[in-house]
Parts: sequence; structure tokens; C-alpha cells
Amino acid sequence: MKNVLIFLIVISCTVIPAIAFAHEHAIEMQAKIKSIQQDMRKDLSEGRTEKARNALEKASGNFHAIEIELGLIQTLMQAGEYRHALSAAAHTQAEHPDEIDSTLLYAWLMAIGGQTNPTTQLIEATLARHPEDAALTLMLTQIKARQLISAEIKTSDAIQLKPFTSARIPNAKVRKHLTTGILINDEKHVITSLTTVEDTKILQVRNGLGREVNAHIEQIFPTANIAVLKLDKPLKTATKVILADKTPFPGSPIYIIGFTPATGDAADWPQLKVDILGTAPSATSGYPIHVKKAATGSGVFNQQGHLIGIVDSDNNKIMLPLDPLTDYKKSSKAPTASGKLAMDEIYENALSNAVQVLGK
Amino acid sequence: MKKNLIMLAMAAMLATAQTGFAQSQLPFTVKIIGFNDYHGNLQSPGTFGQTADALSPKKAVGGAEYLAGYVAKMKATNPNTVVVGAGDLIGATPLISALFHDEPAVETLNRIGLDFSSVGNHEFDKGSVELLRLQNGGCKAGDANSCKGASVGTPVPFEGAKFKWLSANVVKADGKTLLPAYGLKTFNGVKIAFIGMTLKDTPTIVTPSGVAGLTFKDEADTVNALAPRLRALGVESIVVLVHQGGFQNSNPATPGVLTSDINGCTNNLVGSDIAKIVNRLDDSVDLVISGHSHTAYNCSANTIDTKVVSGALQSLPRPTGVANKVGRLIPVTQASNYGRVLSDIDVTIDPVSRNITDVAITNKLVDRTDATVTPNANVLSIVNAYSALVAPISNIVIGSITQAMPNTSNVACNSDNGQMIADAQLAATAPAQFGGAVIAFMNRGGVRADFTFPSSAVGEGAGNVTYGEAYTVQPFGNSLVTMTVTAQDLKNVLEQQFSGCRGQSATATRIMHHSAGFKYSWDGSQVCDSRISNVTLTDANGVIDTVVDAAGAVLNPAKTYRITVNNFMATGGDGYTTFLNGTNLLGGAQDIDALSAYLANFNMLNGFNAYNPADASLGKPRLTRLNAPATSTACVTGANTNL
Repeated sequence: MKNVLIFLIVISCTVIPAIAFAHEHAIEMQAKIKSIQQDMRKDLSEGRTEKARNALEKASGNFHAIEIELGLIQTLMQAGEYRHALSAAAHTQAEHPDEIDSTLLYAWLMAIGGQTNPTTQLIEATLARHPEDAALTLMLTQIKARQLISAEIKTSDAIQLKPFTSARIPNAKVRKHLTTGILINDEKHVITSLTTVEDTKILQVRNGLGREVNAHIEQIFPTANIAVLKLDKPLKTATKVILADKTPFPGSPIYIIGFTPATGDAADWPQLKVDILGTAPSATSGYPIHVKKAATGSGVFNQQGHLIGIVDSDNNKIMLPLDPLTDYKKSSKAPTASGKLAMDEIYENALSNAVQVLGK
Repeated sequence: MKKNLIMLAMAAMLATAQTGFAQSQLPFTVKIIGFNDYHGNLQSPGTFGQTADALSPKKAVGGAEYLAGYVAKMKATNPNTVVVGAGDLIGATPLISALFHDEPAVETLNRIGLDFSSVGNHEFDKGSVELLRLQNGGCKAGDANSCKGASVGTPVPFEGAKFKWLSANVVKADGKTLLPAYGLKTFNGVKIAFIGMTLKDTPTIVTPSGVAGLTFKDEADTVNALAPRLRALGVESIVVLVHQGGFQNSNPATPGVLTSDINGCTNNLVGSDIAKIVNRLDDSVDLVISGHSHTAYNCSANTIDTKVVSGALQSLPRPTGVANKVGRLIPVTQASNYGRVLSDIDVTIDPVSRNITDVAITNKLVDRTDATVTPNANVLSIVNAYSALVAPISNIVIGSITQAMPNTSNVACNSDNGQMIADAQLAATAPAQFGGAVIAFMNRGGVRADFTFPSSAVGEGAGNVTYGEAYTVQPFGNSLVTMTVTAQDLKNVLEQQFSGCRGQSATATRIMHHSAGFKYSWDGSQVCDSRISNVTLTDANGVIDTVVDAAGAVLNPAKTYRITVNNFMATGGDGYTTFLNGTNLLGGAQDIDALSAYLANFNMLNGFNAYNPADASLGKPRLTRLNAPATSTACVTGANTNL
């Protein structure tokens, strides 16, 4: 009996306080993580990307938490660093393969960058362990249908599959997604499909970093079905878009980058699709493309990352060449030695130079 | 005199020997360059600062070519250098490495100059068998994404790791370690041992199948058991490479005021996993290079405490370390992750005791903006090549075929495979703006593979042709050239196909593939310039133009035709020097682009019918062979034109 009493005293003096301490520590950690996450969301929404990044990097140097890693990935995307975000997401997913958020975010980043096959394999492997997960199942369905709609995929608060934005310009009360456009030249002009914007008086454009600005139609090319919008103020791009001197030969690999209309007027990241340029039936017609669901106005880039045209409409699968935009081409010269760009770099550039065109 | 000279010489030799002996007794330094958790980051992972504080400027860091450049620069300061890793060099990698089974990570590490690395938990992500493949080389059977060395310029298929992975605490069922427990380097006759280990908890954080049959032993116990064995071998300098780590602020609830400088050691790592191991280490261990937690710290005589004072960063030296089991402070370092930081470590060795007497550590950013560092061009070339291979272009279905088209020809030299390529090149250059060609010729040697029918590993579906498959058939990246030639040139170049005729090689007959609408007969039993007859060109309306009659006469020698060949042939390649007579040359698409564009018209996935090589509209046979021997079974290719 005496021994039992001694045992109980020892337990109550050592193990119980230790458990209580560990529990307290865990609660403090969770509170700290939650606070860091809240600050991150606010900072990213209000454009303080660097501040958010510093806070997260400092936290990651002090302790290990998947929420911090996921936050860093979101911050890298908000900074327009797609390649770094993708790399970090690859690591986080492999480090936490059974945390659904890590797979959702990595898979989504790969999918919007055009890496369909590895994305499919990753999701299928994760679903084999978590067959009941609805978000992953839906994402896989979307990938197989070549139709990615971020708004439909429910995630936890730790991640979101789109940029952070809270800045709505004052006159944007009733608006809808009209089309995709591509920022060119001095970061104050956007080329897009004419028929989608010609009847709209109030326009805004928003890039994949969630930054938006008012715009109006400055010039139209009716026979080519191309409109040039002028922005009220520049939208800064990571790399200025170069308009290709000429359309590449049919059969060349091309990259098509645009925003899905299915997301509506919500902020979104653009999507890249890989294709082969078709043969034009005649010199004046557009060039056939083949991929499914290439959004109207999407930019079509060659392997050097130069813009060669825009997608005419979701339905007719035609690329409109930039032949009429002679003046714009003159002011957008390619460097003399212009090698091929990696696909992820082309996508990274598009995060800031592809825009959603919104209007009412 | 002679005797004196001999004595003088002996004295001089003795003096020299004594001087050498004295030099070898002087302490010397060995440079150890350490890093960890590379995780296949061939490309820069972004920016990083000396501290985690906003006051510290963020610099672009990392990238395999800069890691190699920094290592080369450090090596240049001391010939006694060894490069080591602390695990997780592979696994949890970006697509550029993961897609190729982490072979790119190994190939770049080879060229960075790594000597030894401990294994980490991620080395076991794909299992111990795969880890051994990466160590020893060889291809992943049946996987198109393995062994890309030839494509990226290594140039062997997959060379395996030239460095040694070490696994002192990973033991197989037979009691032996999976990989060597330690590696030895000898400098000035003194051996340094590097013991490599991963965290003992590895089985709890990797897929069970990856570590089946392996036991992961306690880290400190493993080192302490090995140390006497090493000392028995005369080794007194012992460095531990361990894939386990810690944080400068292990308790976030009570954060310190320090800024986690990469050369800091806030709280001396107290309570962290790495400190718990070091606290139990034998006193013979002189240095611990750690990993796993992706943090940077430098707990040594060179530790600095950095904090913000009046809006600026202020650093003060605070020599420290982590106490071992007898209380001696041991230097412990970690170099962040992804190749962002290198630990530059100078150890001083007493050649008499053979022991390490001093350790000076500086963690350095792998700063891509440092103009004094030359990135390694060879490594960059490999990285860029893998970057291009990551693009999924090769998996795109460009068209469909109704049956396999092997890269073979019949007795008359007709080939479905080659003739489709010629048709594609004509289609690409027939429009006036692309050349206005009416005939296309393709050299037989430029067609390198079969068009297969079954679905490949990509899963494109039976009958579908991917861009990658087409590229395998036409891998040279030739561009098309359209030119004007005369009817006589046409006759001459057809004659020139046969061995020894018009400058053609005496040992090769090279009958070209050509496009639809063009037909001729050939007779290998005849002599040069009399083998070709019945050359006709039929246009889209069915109008037949006879270029050469049945007797072999050119009917209108000066008549011109626009023809397309590839740039190799246009410059006289494969002995077709007649094409050098071509005029009004117009460069065009790449051959692979022409093929892709052509096959797009036969893509089942886009609702078209598959390409049928037997379709009547293709105008076959295009070649007729006359007087072929009854024994002939194949197209002639050698010296004998009538085999």
C-alpha cells in the first residue's frame, strides 16, 4: 500500500506536470501558428507580400509546422515566383504526403502549369490512401476533363488555390469575367479578343497576382477580331511580353495561357495548356489549335516565350495571329539571341502578364 | 676529395629529410565543405538572407551550377579539401529531379564534387533497392524517364553516385550496414573518418515498404561503438555526418531576441534532437555536421549573436558548442537546405596526435550575385537540359495511325514510314508562302525508328502517335529547305543515289523516300546514269508530267521544279551533291514540326480518321524496281546495286 502511494506521488509530481506542460506548449504553438496565418492572409490581401514572407521565413527557422510551409508557398505565388513555389510545394507534399492540403496545393500548382501527367499520378497515389477525399477526387475529375475550376474545390483555411486579393476598385460593383488578355509593351496595354469586350463600357483587368486596374478600349482591329485596351495605370510585370516577329511554322509546340471563365469574377491563377500549332487553311485565316477549353483571349506563346497570337473563342479552336499589330511589334523587340524558355518560366511570366478582363 | 663529396651529399640528404620530417610535424588545415537537404534543388530555390530579419538583404541563392562554383572556389584555397553532405540529398524533390527518379540530383552532386554523405530519411522514399541503384548506377527498367544521360550530356545513361552514401546505423537482416558506415580521407598521412547516419526515427516517417528488412539504430550508440574501432585503425580525427537537426529557437512560446543568423546558435540548440544526440557522443568525435530540420546554425568557436539594435543589425561573437558526454563543447553546424548555404569548415590537425585540434566554421550563403564566383557551365548545361525535358510536350498526341509502320522497306525500297515523312514535308512546304514545293525527298538515314501501334508507357492509346514518338523517328532537328532544280537535276540526283555514281560513296546505295505524286522506276542491274526511267509527277488534278521517259531520256531538261529536302541533304549530305545546284532556296520549318502538322489531320482524338498507309490516295507504290534478282529480299543499301 505504501509502495502504491509512493508510486502515485511520483506520478503526480513528474508525469502529470510533464503532460500538462506538453499540452500547454502545443496550445501555445497552435495559437502562434494561427496568429501567423492570420497576419499572412491580411498582409497578402493588402499587398504586403514581403512582410508576410519575412514573418513566415523567420517562423520556419524557429520551428517546424506544415501550416508555415504552406503559407510560404502561397506567399511565393503572391510574389509571382511560381517556380520557387512549385519547388517548395513539391517538398512539402513529399514531407507531408498524407496532409491533404499539401497534395491539393502541389497538385494544383502543377496542373495550372500544364503538368497533367505527374499531377494525375500524384493525386491517384494520394487517393489510394485517402479514397474518401472529395476535394482530391474533384480535382482529379477536373484535370481529366481539362477544365480546372478553383472555386469548386473546397480546401481548409490553410491554403487557397487562387491569389489573395481584397482590393476592389470603386466602380466594380457588378461585373463578370469577360475574357483573358495579355499585357504588352509598357505594361499599360492589353490585347484581347474584340468580340468579348466591344459592347462593354466599364472594364477592369486583374492579373494572377490579384492586382487590378481600370481599363478602356483604345484600338480595335475588326478583321482580326483583336482589341487593344489601355490601362489607367501600369500593371507591373515580371518580364515584359515580346511579340514574336512571325507566326511559327505549323506543327510547332505552343503554350496557351488564360483564365477559365468558369471562375466568374473571382481572382484566379491562369492556366497553361501545351499544344501543337495547326496548319492554317489559308493565309488570312487563323491557325487551328487542338486543346480542350482554351479560354477566349488566352495568350499563345512559342517556345521562346514570345506571344504569337490569342485564342479567338472557347469554341472554334482558332489562334488569331498578331499580324495587324505592326506598331506594337516594333516596340517589342526580341533580344538577338533568344533561346527556348522552360515551360515553368513561361508560366511564371504569365502570372503577372496574363490578365482577367472583367466588366459590366 | 671524392670521399668528402660523398659525405657532403649524404649530409645534404639527411638535412633535407629532416626538414621534410619537421614540416610533416607541423599542424595543417583541412577544409571540409558541408551541406545538407539538397532535395534535388538543381535550380535556385529563391532568395535567402544572412538572418531571418527584414533588415538582412535577401539574395538570390543556390542552384547546382553555383554550388559547384562555390565549392570550386573554396577548394582552390586549400588542396586538402573534402566535400560532405548530411542527408536528404534526394527525395521530396522538385519535378526537374523527381520526374527522372532523382538521377539529375545525383548527376549534379557528382559534378559539385561531393565525396561523402550520410543517408537521410528521404533517401529511403523509394526504398533501399532504389537507393542502391542511385548509388551504383544503371537504369530503371522500362521507364522512359530513367537514364537520360545521353540527352542531357552526362553523357552515359546513368552513371550512379560518384560520392559514397554512408549509413552506419542502418543495418540489414544479416547484421551488415546497408551502405558503408564511414568513409576515410587521408591528408598528409593522417586519416579523417566521416561517420554517416540518419535519424533513428526514419522508419516512422517513410513508407514502410521503403525500409522493410532494415533496422535503424540509435545514433549516439552507433557512433560510440564505432569510435574505438576507428581509433584501433589509427584514426583520431572523427567527423559525424548525421541527418538530424534542431532549431535556434526550439521553444517558440519563449522566443529569443536574436535573429537566427546563419552563424548563430540561439539557446545553444538546447532541447533539440541534435543536441540530445551530441550530449551522448564519445569524446573522440571532433565535429558534427547535421541536417534534417532545414535550419542554419553554427554552434562553434565562430558563433555570433545577431540582434536588432537601434534599427540595425548588431553581431557579437560568442564562442560556444554543444556539450558531449564528458561536457566538452563540440562544434555543430547545419547549412539550411536546398543548397542555399554551405558550411565552410577549416579543421586544424596535429600530425603527431593525428587529432583535430581546432575547428573554424563559417556558414556562407550560396550567393548567385557574387561576381567572384564562376558558375559551373557543365552543370548548368545539364540543369537546362533536364529543364527542357520536364515539359510535357513529348506526351502530346499529334496524330493517329491505323497500323504499325516499321522503319523498313520492300525490295523496291518503298517504305510507308519514310514516305509519310516525305508527304509531311511536302505538305509543310507546298503553300506558296512556305516554298511552293511539288516534291519532297527524305534521306533514308534520317528516319531512325518505327512508328509503333500499341500504346506506350505514356498511355496515349493504341494507334496514337505522341510528339515524343515522332521525335524518336526524326531526332536530328533538321530544318526544311525548298529550292528550284531542273528536270536534269532531278534525273541526276536519282542516279546519284546508287553506289559510285556521280560521286556517291562506292560502298553505299542511298535510295531516298519521296512524296506522293512522284513516281519512277529503277533498275539496279544497269550502270551509272542509266538506272532511272519513267519519272512522272502527277498534280492534284491528275495531270501527269513525264520528266524522264521509259528509255531514261529527260524530256525537258531545263524545266524547273520546286522541291523540298532537309538542310543536311541541301548541303550535299549523304552524297546528294546535285542538290547544291538548287537555286532560290527558302528555309522552312523543322522536320519534326512538319510531321506534327501533317499528322494533326489524322488525329483520332480530334475526330479525324487515323492515317492509313494503304490509302489509295497516297499513290503507292511510288517506286518500281526493274530486273530485280529473284533472290532479292530487301532494298539495296550497299555497293552492289542489284542485290
